[in-house]
Amino acid sequence: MNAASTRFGSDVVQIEPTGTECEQTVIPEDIALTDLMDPSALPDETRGEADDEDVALLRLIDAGSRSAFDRLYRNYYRRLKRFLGQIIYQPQLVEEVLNDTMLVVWRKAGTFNRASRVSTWIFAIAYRSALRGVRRSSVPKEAERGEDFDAFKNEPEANVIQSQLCARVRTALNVLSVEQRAVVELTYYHDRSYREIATIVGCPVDTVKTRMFHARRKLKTALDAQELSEK
Amino acid sequence: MKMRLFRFDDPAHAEAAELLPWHANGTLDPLERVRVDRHVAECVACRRDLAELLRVQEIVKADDDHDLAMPNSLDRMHALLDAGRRRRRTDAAGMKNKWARLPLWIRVALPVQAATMLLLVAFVIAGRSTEPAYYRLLGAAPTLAPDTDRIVVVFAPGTTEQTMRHTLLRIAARVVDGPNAAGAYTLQLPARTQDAALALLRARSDILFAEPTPLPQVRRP
Repeated sequence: MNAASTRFGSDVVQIEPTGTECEQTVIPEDIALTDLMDPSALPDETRGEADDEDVALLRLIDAGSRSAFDRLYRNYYRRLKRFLGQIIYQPQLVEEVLNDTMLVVWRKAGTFNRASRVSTWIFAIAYRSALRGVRRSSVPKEAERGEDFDAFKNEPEANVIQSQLCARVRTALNVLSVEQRAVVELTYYHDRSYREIATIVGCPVDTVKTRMFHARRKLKTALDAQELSEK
Repeated sequence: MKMRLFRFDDPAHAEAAELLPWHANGTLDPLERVRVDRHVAECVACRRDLAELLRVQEIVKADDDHDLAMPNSLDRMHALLDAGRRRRRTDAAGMKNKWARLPLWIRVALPVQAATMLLLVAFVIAGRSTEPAYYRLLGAAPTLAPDTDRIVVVFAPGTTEQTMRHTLLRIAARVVDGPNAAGAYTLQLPARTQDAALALLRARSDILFAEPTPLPQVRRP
């Protein structure tokens, strides 16, 4: 397979073929991910054009390109904000952790070596930053996220039903630990495989499965309890 | 297809139940997907769980009550990057300025002091190296320094631990090795007490053998 090149503005970047053998991902020191990645755990077919673009952007960022960084920032902003928002329930802290995450990306772009997808690498940084942020913050990890069901009064009926369902699930998610919420969010919303989630949260795949098992059980209990209380 | 109720400890059921969330989001590898599909087609409980999973997943995905807008976030990010760059520059410049602001005598005295300390360290190290150096090839046999304060002792069979301890205390000896296959102990004695200790031990009926440790053989090239 030949190396391809991608153009970003005036910058041209050589991209290595995705099927090449990869070394272990170098994790930023300040993130301290101990068991990040078994290269065999992530099949190459899960990488696509988007990942090639991200790799090219990281190389430009490593070379000091602000425009490449801006582009990566825009590409990831919504995904990271949604992910962090589900782990940290304080909007101001979410913004702070998001920027902390991207600051690490800016500083450590050169350490990425394609053992995983770029998005997995960035989400792993975000997850660790989120845990640090939650520890720093005075609000407890399992802080309640209040739901105002009266807020749906003036909406059309179909929207009200959908909004109430969402609110119900969101309230049920409150009973989960930060670690369980991360697994649920990465599975349900971000469509990540359990192997990628293990990489992101830095734990064995069996731990991911166990967290999901307990999360589902808690969610079911919480949703059943809500239904009972409404009857 | 015939529907069945599986036992919860059935391995196929346990695997499928565990993997259902990733079956729902379509990220299982093909082999896992086939196994789970096959099981779900027959298992009432897993079909029910999968339906519930898909329902919750749909709600989670539809939950757009998150403010995902990016007002000024990138500007704040730029400010962070600029601040980092400025800090690095000012740190380097600050060090230079601090040095320049020091009085002249300090700027002279500090290097002189450092050089003096280096000389002192070098002097101490040179003083130590007056002892003859001892060299040995890695392949050569170990050549230990002769140890005249060590003796080898064999107690008579049936000697009690209490008697042995009493004997050792009398000559202020410490067991440093043994017993070996022949039942011999190597004892460490206080300096210059070897002759007296050997005389005392040889006079005892519960000591079969008491001799200085043999001097190591020094192989010459």
